[in-house]
Amino acid sequence: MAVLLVLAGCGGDVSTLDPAGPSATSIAMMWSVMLIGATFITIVVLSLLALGFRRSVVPRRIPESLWLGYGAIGIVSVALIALLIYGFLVGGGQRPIGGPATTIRATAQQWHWHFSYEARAPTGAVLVMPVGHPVTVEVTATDVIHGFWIPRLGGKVDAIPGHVNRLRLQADRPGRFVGLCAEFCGTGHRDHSFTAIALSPADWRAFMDGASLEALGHD
Amino acid sequence: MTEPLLDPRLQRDLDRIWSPEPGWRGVLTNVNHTDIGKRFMIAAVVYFSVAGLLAMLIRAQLASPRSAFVGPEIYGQIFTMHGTLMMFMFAIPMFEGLALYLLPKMLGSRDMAFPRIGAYGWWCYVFGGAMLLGSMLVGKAPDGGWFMYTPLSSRTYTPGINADIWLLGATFVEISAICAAVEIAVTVLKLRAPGMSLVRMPLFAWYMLATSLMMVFGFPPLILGSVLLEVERAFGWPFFDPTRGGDSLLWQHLFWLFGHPEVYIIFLPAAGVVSTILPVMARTRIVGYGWIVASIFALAILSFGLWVHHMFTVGIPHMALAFFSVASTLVAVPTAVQLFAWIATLWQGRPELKLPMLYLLGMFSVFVMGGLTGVMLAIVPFNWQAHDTAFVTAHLHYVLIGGFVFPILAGIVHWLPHVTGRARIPRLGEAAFWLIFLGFHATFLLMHLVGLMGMRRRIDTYDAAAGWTAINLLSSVGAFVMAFGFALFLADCVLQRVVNRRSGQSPWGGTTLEWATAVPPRSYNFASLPAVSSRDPLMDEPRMAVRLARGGGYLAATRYGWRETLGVDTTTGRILQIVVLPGSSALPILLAGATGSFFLFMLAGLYGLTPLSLVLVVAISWRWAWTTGSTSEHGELPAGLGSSVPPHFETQDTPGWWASIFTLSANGTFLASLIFGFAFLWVVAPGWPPPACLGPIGTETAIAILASTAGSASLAVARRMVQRGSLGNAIRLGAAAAAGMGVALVAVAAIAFGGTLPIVTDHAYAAVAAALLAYVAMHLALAALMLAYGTARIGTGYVSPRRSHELAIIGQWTHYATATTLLILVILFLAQSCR
Amino acid sequence: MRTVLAIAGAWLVWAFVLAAMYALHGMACAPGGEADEGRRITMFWSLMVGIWAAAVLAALLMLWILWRGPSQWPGGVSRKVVAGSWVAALAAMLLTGVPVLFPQACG
Ligand code: HEM
Ligand SMILES: [Cu+2]
Ligand SMILES: [Cu+2]
Repeated sequence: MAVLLVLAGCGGDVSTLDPAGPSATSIAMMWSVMLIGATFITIVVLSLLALGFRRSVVPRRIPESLWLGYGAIGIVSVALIALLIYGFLVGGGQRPIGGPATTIRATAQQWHWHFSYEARAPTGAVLVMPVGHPVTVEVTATDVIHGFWIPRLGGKVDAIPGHVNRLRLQADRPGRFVGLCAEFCGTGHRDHSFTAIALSPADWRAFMDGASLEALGHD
Repeated sequence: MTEPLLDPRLQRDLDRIWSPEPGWRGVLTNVNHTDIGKRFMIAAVVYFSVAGLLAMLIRAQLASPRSAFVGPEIYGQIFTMHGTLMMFMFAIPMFEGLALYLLPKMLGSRDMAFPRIGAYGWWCYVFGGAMLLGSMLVGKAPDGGWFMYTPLSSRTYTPGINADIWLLGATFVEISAICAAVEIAVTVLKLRAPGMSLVRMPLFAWYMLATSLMMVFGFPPLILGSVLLEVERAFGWPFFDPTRGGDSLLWQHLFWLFGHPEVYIIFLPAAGVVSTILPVMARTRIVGYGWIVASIFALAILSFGLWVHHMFTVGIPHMALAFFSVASTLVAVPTAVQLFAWIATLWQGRPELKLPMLYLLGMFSVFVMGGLTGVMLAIVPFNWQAHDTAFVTAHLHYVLIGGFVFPILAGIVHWLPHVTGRARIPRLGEAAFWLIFLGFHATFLLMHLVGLMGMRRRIDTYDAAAGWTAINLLSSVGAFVMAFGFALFLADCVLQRVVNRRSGQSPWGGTTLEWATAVPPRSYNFASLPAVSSRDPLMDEPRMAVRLARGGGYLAATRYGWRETLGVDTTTGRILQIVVLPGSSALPILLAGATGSFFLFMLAGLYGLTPLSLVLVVAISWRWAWTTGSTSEHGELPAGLGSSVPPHFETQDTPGWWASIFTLSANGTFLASLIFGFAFLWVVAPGWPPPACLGPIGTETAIAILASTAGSASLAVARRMVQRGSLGNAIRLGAAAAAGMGVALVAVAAIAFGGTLPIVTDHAYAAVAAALLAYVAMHLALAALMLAYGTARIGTGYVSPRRSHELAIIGQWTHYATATTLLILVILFLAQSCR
Repeated sequence: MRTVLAIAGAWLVWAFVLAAMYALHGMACAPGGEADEGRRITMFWSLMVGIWAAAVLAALLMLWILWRGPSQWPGGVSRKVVAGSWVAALAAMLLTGVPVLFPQACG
């Protein structure tokens, strides 16, 4: 009951459980599935354990191969393989390859972010993206390792000096999302954050044509 | 009294031979495994308390939003030191101490295979730990997180000595850990009771054998990483600097190549404790012995193939992630085999809810959940969200506290009567258990959730608006409840030691040999050594302790003042030799001091003084080796119960030979990691190809390879001469071998200093090449030194056709040096064309 | 010690396959040399499949040897543990290698 109450209040600007894009949604879904599965397994294991103390109800001798071969290896392997397949399907769908996508470059530094675009002037510490259309964020860093993470849109990827990592994201509705640095990067790590703004198609077109954020009503 | 009747004369003789020296001298020179084991565990508890206090500071800071208790600078030091102390100064030394204390007794031996190495490891641990604690007192503690990612930990971004402390302190302690690992592996393989074949070993011995082998292969990558990073920080060689051909990902690979096995290195000994105690508590035998042995090895090696799951977000392509995702979920299977074997054991037996059992139940409920969240984290997309959040913090504590702390607490409760000879105080332990157990879940259960709600790890505070306040407050309250439980647990142990009544010989009815010693044990464990014919020797013969104390086993007499125990065949447990162990000695603390001076000089930036430390280390090691062996022939000596075997120095299959094999394996892993680093940088790092390549090195390469091969060959001939008894020729050939190694060393130095090597601070290419050359040079010098030692030993009568096992060991190192010369120089030769 | 090696050997083969496949994949997808990327990837991919198949065959061979049971192998528990380890490692190898069947280049 207490858990349910808490679950109800799982929102917040940075909650992965309040997703606003397809990646984050499928992962939040995955969490629910795994949480249910894990709870079930925990209950089964603890019940088996408790039965060990109720000698009157359990059979005295169960062959090793039943416990270990079929139980530990058989059942566990089946569950794991099912989970792996599910994981591959969800993960494979989030790979930053193929399909038309807008590319945005994110550069992290102690302790600010810098975003630039292919066909437009950079926007400093604000990431601007279209709604309902995938973007590929090319993430890098100039000093130490940082992490690029917009919890409500999807997973994170590290910003590593000397490397460029790609992340595919999409926002389902217009609005502002909080972005965070996920990898510990020194004393400014806590506040190393940024804002992502998802624009409606019309605004996005205007933005790409050079309109400033202020002009579009976002400041 | 419960003390068994003794043979008084035998007891007096053994006491005289095995007791440590009296007074302060004894504290410094004691090498006895029981005492060293206890010291390891006590120190580990001290570090646990310090790290626990730091955890309380973390929880105090996070209890409320916008807390101004400490700022980010101090917070960084606190969580880094908490993690570092817990992993390196508590977990590893704790199980090492337990193994040192228990293994010889469980295996039916009088001591570990290398008592002085055990003592050396202890002093290294104390000195290294003192460095870390000292840094905290002066406010210069490491602050880059316990995995010290570069470039944050490199000179540019951490200019102070904070990172050096971590690198040097951790390396120092790691040396101690490798020493312990080699000692444990050899003890399990060689110093067992006669008749104890591998499959009759207690499961704890299997677990410790696998653990120690894992340490032999798992620690070198981190030692290499630390050495390279320290060299980068101190001298500017750019191994990890992305602007000069290095790569921070190399550090991550090296760290996690160590770091993931490390988690299982911590878990396996604890699982060994469970597999030992649980059947005793259920008054039955373990179910699935063979299954468990198989799953131990599966876990041990699978755990080396998972390191990349700590790096799922560094930008590795999806297919490669998939390999490691599969591998990571696979480890759940052998883990499940063990869990189910334990549950099956409970079903088969008649379990009782005694205190150790309570802690085992705590283990089950906590560890199972930790394992399940581990499987979740192995699924790539979920990992992308959960990585670096409080979810991971919660997961790792479920695994470490469930998989290590609870079993160890069970072990302490179980074996404390053995250590102290006293019964425990009723109730206190139960109260402590419930505080720890409930406090634990209160602290960490909802921390999973707050992580998914976006709370990152390693942040020093947060806003109330985030909605994390209630959960964090609960966590903090839980943490203090848990801390109170730990304090109560400690108080219980201390009280048991000082006030309570004597306990019986075997309070729980254990069936392994440690309960056949006196309780508390004497310095020699067994007045005479047992033979075994099954896995539960005390089930076969409940009164074995009395028979052994009366001198009814092997080696029930003393001679020459030797500390004797039996050496057996590694597989069958057939008696092979009498192993003569060294007695009290100041060498361990001196060698640890010399090693420590090296690290201190490095830390202080007094690089010019480090050769002094090296000379000291060499001199003390020489002396150390010299005090073993004998200048006279003994032949077969009576070992009791009608058997006769020679002392170990007149045999070939000696503990020293095995130790040397394991040390070389660790050494080879170190080299393999370095070569991997070279290839990795070459393929992956930004900023390649390098601006300049190695110049022509053909001549030097040819000379070095020929000279070292000639050295190896003459040593081989020298050993044949020794077999034939022509010692004069052997001395000459040994000297020639040393000279060959010396010539090769000069040729290698010519490459390094002859102008063919590009400037090492310019690019990682030159830096790694120089590191490889340094490695070869060191090993050639070492081989030359060992050969000099060997010839000196022949000259002074320590070597004869029968007593030639030392030359076998020197042979291993000489041939290793030759092989690495060949390998590395060929690699460098091929790497000449680098553009 | 031979028993220990025979048990560990099963998993060492597994570890070798994993490391080799990871390394080959890394080389296939290394930055630079965009010109003949397609050919390079195909070549490394065939190598990966080759190594995978070779390891599986090696494990099968070992099991066949164990099954035939030459006299120098230990009996009893040790033998069961050795054989069980090889069966398990074979299964692990098959499973770990599966992703290679979905050649999706370097994304
Ligand atoms: C005594 C109860 C313990 C409490 C209350 C506790 C609490 C914590 C907390 C709150 C953190 C997160 C710090 C942060 O991310 O800001 C943490 C980190 C950590 N803890 Fe514990 N811990 C405890 C015991 C242990 C034990 C027994 C171990 C290992 C054997 C351990 C190993 C670690 C490690 C490795 C980290 C990560 C440090 C880092 O991020 O660099 N802890 N602990
Ligand atoms: Cu950052
Ligand atoms: Cu950061």
